[in-house]
Amino acid sequence: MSNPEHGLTKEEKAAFVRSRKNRNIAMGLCLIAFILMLYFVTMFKLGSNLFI
Amino acid sequence: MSTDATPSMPHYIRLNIAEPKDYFLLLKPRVMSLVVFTAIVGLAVTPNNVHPFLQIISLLSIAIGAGASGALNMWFDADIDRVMDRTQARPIPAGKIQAETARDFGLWLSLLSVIMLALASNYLAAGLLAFTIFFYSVVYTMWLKRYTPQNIVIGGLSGALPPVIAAASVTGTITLESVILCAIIFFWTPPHFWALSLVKKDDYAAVKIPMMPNVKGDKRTIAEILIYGIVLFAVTLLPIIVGFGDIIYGLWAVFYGIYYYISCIKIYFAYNKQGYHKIAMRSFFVSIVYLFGLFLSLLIENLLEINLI
Repeated sequence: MSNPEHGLTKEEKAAFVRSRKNRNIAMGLCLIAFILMLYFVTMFKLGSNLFI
Repeated sequence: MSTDATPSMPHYIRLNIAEPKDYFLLLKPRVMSLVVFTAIVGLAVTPNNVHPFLQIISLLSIAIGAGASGALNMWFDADIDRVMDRTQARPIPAGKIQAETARDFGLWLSLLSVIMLALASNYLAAGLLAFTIFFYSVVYTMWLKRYTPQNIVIGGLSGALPPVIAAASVTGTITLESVILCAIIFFWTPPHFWALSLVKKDDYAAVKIPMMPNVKGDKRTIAEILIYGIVLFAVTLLPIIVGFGDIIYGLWAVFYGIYYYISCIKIYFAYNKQGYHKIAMRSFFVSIVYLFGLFLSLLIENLLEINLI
């Protein structure tokens, strides 16, 4: 697979790396939120049956 | 439909330089906010004892499902969005996101939203959400929109379903109240969009979208606006008859309903005269306030449990 960064100027490469980093952070936060959501949905659906 | 969203862009633009906000814009946030608002009203008119957290997750799922539909719509319509004035700044025509990326994003979000709703509520609500996404993305976007002037009449169903999905998420059934809310949005959509399309018909003609004014002419469109306006007025009285709309809703439905209908009649009398487009645009904006007021009054009455009639 060819390197997507090949032939970029310094500024273009900086913009590419910055946007990739921001996307990775956003994706990570979404994954954490999704896991927390699953955890709490399970808790609230179980309700008072949680410790039976 | 084009498969390459950015054929004339330099090579570095073809790299994924999209920021998270570009992905957010792909979800059509304004449409999403309307969907969430009508879904909240759907929940408010449906008495239930489901935990608020689960209701919030249901609303979030509906919002993500609506956003996913928006992303799929932008993927398929990338070719016409590049031509139309009001859509040229969208992330795909602006060269921020490739069309295929938007498609994949929409598909993954669709799956996620349906699974989330199934987990947080029930299979009926999840099935309705899946149907709504399919109806908007495939039936409306891929077929009706480019095929028939009735596109927004039939396609409007997808925009009308969120209150039904929300009510189903807390009851497990399809409630009468939510169906009435759905009917209000369904009959509101054609006169609302046709008022806009009277003004923007050259834009639609340029991309060969068969909107009513382009196919049947302005006069026929105005006649249909007036007919749908009467049906809409009648449908907005149903919440009072059924009993979940009270005095605030009733006053708004009757008096602002008449005001809105007068704005439609004004289009008829302004036809081919000076200020015609301005009057049509005014009717378009009045219709937004009309629907917002109808749903807001229902929300207030049901949250405050106002019961005067």
